[in-house]
Amino acid sequence: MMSVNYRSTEKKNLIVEIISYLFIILFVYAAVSKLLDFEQFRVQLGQSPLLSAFAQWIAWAVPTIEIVIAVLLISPRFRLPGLYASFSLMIMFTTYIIIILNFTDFIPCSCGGVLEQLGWTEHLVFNIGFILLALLGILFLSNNEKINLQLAPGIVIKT
Amino acid sequence: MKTKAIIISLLGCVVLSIGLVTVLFAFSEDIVHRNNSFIRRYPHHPVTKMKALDIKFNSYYIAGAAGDKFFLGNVTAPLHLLSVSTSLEDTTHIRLKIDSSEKGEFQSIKVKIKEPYFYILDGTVPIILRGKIGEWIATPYMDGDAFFSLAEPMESNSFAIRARSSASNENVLGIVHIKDTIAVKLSHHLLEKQLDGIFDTDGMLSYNKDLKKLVYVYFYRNEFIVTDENLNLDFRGKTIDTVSKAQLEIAKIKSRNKSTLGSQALWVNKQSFSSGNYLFLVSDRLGKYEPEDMLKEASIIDVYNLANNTYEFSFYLYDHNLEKLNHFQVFNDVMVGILGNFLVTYKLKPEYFDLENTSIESSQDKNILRSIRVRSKT
Repeated sequence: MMSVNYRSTEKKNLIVEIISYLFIILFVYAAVSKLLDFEQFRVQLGQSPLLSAFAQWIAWAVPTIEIVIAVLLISPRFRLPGLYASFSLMIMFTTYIIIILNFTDFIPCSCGGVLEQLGWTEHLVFNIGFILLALLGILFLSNNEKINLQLAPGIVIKT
Repeated sequence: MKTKAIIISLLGCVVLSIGLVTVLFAFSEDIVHRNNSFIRRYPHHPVTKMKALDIKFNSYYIAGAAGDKFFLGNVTAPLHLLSVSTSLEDTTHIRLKIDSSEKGEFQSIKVKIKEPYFYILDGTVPIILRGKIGEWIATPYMDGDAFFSLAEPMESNSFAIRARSSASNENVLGIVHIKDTIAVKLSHHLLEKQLDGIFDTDGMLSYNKDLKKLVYVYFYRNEFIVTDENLNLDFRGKTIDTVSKAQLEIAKIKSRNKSTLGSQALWVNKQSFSSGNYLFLVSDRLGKYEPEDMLKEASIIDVYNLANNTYEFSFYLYDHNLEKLNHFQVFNDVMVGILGNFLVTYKLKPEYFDLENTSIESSQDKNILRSIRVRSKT
């Protein structure tokens, strides 16, 4: 007979696995779509009131970081730091959106059909959902694997 | 203990992430504002299209506005004027009459409206005729006193002109005062020569009646000049563009003793108009991160604030019926443009344009007040 505790651990592991793969799909998709139309992405970033001056290197950094995180999440050994990194990145995206919506003089023009006000709000809800998922993953995984937890802070500081 | 460690790590992540983005934002704002590196700011539709009217011909230009009417001159029919109500609902054709013996000697007539008068100007004759709006009969006002290549009527019987200095044979700005006698005053230090003093100093003259200032914008460099009505320099403004030296090829044809513009002129500013606190510049030069395709469907208008000499923002003025903006002027909160056969009006949104405190003086007063306040604090 399996113990209840073992079963719930099994379940938690499955949930962590699912969360990790959701993030992998999200980041790989996001990175690939950015790289496929890289010029467009760079232009959009440059017109954004928040980061225009750094658009040049942020345009490269964002998809690179997304892919690195996806790779971290694939291997079970680095899954916890990967989840911490996902969590941080999602917080950054969310901060970006909140600043754009509230603290800049203007929202980038949607003339090109690129950015709509509704799009930003939807994004916000979507991001918060993923932040909660990452949080859940970190909590479940930390309870199961003690070794990985010690890796976490080092990675955190890097982000 | 363990849960505590997790919470601390998570909080660390939150703080660092938010901090990083916020710091990037702060720095980016700083760089965009201060360095004036050539990055345009595009707010969310500062100008909205109101109405368009088919005026049948593309040879119209905006002569000015008076009362609730716009007046359009016509290049191919120089003495024809089209009056259009500001709502773009009524149009009237006007035939200008010249009460003068010198008929038929004009070469390049321009009609300009400055309440309560209209002016017919031809700097090649040179002649300025003047008549009352509504009567539409023009009589000679200045006849043969000064040749000019550009002229703008200002307040109190005076004109700003751009002429060719007889001493240096270069472009100069000047003032013509018309009273009992006609006084012409040229200012030789305002336009700054970079190559030949003729092509490189070429540009656009506009008179801002709200500020009572004269604005001259160079075509081929990122600079404009703001002076008062007596040509005393207020300041030389820089645009966001990075071309500070005119890039032209001036071809000298020795056999004919002529200079002409070579093929490689780099246009920095193409059209300009100044109204309220603002200077509007049309430029088709792209800044960083701007999609090239936009130039196929819109004109880029950069807005500068003359009261504090800053770049405000830019906006796209979309083509109408595939026609680009040919000519525009701004009257209070209405921008009127000619795009091909169409006259189109646009509304300047008050969220983006401060249309009430229109004065360089008032902003200086504000600065003085501010400095007094600061001083009293310390």
